[in-house]
Amino acid sequence: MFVEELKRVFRRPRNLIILGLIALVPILLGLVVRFASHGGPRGGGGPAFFAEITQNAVFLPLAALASMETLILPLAASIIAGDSVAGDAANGSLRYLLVRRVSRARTIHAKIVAALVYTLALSLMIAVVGLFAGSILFPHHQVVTLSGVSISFLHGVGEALLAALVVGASIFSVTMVGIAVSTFTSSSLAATSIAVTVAIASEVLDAIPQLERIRPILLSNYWSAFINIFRTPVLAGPIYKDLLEQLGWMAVFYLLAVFNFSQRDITA
Amino acid sequence: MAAVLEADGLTKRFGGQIAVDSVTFSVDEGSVFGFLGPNGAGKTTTIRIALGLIFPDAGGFALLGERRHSRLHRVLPRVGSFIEGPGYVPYLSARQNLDRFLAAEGVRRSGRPRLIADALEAVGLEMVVDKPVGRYSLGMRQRLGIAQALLGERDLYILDEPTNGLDPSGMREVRRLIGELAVKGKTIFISTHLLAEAEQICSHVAFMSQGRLVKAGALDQLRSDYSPQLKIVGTPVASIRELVGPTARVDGPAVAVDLDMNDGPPLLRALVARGVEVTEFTWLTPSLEEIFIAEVGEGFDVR
Repeated sequence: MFVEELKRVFRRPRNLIILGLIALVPILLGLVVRFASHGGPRGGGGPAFFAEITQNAVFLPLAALASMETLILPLAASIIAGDSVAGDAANGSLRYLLVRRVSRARTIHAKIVAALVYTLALSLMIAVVGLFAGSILFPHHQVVTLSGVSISFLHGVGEALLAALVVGASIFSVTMVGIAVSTFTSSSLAATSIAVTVAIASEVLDAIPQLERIRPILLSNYWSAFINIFRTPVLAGPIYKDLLEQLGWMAVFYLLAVFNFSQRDITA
Repeated sequence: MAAVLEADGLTKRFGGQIAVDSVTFSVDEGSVFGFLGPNGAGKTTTIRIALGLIFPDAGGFALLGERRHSRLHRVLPRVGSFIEGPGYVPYLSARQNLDRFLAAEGVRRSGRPRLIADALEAVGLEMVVDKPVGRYSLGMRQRLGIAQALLGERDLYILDEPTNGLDPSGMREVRRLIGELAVKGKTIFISTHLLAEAEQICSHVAFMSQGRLVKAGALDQLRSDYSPQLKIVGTPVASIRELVGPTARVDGPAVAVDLDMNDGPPLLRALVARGVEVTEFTWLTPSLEEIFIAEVGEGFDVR
């Protein structure tokens, strides 16, 4: 069941196209910085790591992750999450799954796992393609971290992959919101839209200084925490806070998804 | 005979509207049970409750003896079902779709190809197994839905409008498949609004109308509840009318009359004694449609 659900997600042409388009972003970013900006962006503007892209190959995937984390990744995750239950409800295969021996709990868990795996695949895709593109376009010698300490290139690659995992996990809350909403409707689009709206609303609220007190509970509040992997030593506090934040949101929407899916009438 | 399906005061509302209203019936093992009624009569809702997709508001349902929703998974592998049209992932092929259903059921990977091949062959889709289902025609999708219901050996088949969207030869194929299953001793519960179709295959029927079960029983039994009609053709017609009385209905040379079967032989003797030349003397059994209209009324009122 779990394997079948992964196959369903990863065999869908649309989902593969999304992965492919996402893989293009670090390549385009690298090409633009390498050939169009005469020595790289200046003045420290733009998303994290933008100013460092030309210095080392490992900064390209990081800059790509930082620039895509705020909109493109939540959107891509929402598309798959919103489709997870609603898509099967709309095409009618949900009822045929449920009249097999499989329990509703197992079905929803398989869908949750598949959507989370896809979310991770998105950020890993950016990291892997970014590292390849970065290695071709930019120097790949010792990496100077944000603390000014030099680490080996291989160490830097490892940290970039770790950063991708953290970024992927940071989007889990959005994915889980999408899955939960998906259990209420037969419209994938509605579920996707709501999940994206929640993510954007969180970022908007996060930017309003007067709402500082509610910031710690916003799902996007610690999205930039992955940057701290590139300090020496790694500043783990914000990363733990981010993961804890994600766990909290996931727990709430996980319970909502499982509860609603277990007891609702399947009329689609 | 054991009951494989039992509804007991089944009631379901959607919003304020009642979809199924205190429905009680049982289906015996080995029967071909026609669940008949117009669209919107509550047939599909009843079927969804039977299969655990919808929770009833009141009453209960036993599927192969299992009443508890949490334990339905124990009996579901013995049931093949087709519910309100086919359901498939459009970008997967027929083979991949059926594989997904079998995997959900826990059928071992090694056992799946043969089951899938058999089911697709039974509905004539063996040539297009690897084509994405989204590119199938309406009839092919319907056939795939039926193949899905036929996957593996089952004891009970619950088929909701299985011939919708099929051409006449496809409908005949489905009737043949149902006939083959019935011969094997399988129980078939088929819902349809096509009464002529049901009449050809069903041993038992139940009539649904506006969420209520109006009548249920063996088709032969239902027929015998109606006084049979006698058709007499002969000359002179006037003499026949005189003998059978004022209830006779005359249609050209034929006279039709409602009569107890025991009164047939004396009537025939009387006709002959009167010198009537009788060329036809036939008992007409009421068609399922006539019984349905007598029980449910004219017009398919869809709420």
